[in-house]
Amino acid sequence: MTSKTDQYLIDKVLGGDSLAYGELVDRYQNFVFTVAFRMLRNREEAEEVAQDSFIKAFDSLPGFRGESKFSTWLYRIVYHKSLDRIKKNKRQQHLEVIEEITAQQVVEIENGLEYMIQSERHELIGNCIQKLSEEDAAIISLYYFEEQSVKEISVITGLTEDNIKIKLYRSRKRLFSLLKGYIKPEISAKNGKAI
Amino acid sequence: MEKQFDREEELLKKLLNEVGAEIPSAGMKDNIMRQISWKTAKIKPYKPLIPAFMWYIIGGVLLSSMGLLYSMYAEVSFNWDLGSPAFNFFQLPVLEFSKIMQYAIALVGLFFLQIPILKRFLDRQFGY
Repeated sequence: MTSKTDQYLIDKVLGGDSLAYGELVDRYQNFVFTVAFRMLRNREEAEEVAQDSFIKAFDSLPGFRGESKFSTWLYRIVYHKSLDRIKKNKRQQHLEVIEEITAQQVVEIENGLEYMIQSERHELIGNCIQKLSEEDAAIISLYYFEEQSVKEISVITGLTEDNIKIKLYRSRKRLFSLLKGYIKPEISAKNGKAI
Repeated sequence: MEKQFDREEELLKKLLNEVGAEIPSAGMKDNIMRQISWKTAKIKPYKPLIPAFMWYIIGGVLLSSMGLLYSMYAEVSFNWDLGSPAFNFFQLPVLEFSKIMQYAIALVGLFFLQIPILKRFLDRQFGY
């Protein structure tokens, strides 16, 4: 494996090879866009914010001291840029009430999702993520998809680690609660047919 | 309870990884790189074709030769004898400058003198 490390590419960019930045863009553009999209829920706006974030990162690159991973540093930029955009839009988010989920219901949700075809499943999960608050949608994506640690998410968001843990717990419950709402009728319908 | 927690964690991780990342439009990277290339494009500092010291030499040669010719052939002039036989050896063609011609040369000289002054003025007016 001869893939270049982020630091190697950063050094090249700082040395005047701006094309090396293209490799960093290739490496992180999907997830940077994902964070922006999950927070803003609008593709055009998310793309604008993702672009601005990459440009800001390029401008600030000489100040990047490598204390955290480049990805963490970059996600911090996109997270805060998205929050700024949300504040500018003054978008209101109405959150659903969290229902308590039992172990049995988790199994039912898992089974219910198995019945769905892949595209349906993706759409459903995407919709459920969109119903989380902007902050929670970003945190849950960073933690479960990008596998950033709680400590790294704390650096990205500027929230305390305990706060992140609470938010993760609540988001997970909210997500399952939302999934249950979609899955339950499906399961009943399937069971109904079987009986 | 612990078991349920683990199961939820595992399921959520599986689901989010299955959904994957959102894909931006194909032009996003191009837009970013275009903006970066604008930022990094270095404007070459203005470098005149003829360097300043050369202008001084040219100007000096021109002025001294003009002065020399004027002192030699002008209607009002001192007797030119530089005291060296070498100067008398080269017989320069006798140029007769009329008054009008002399005024014309002086005006052209003034015109050329205006160029750097005007250039500096305009640079200050519209400069970056």
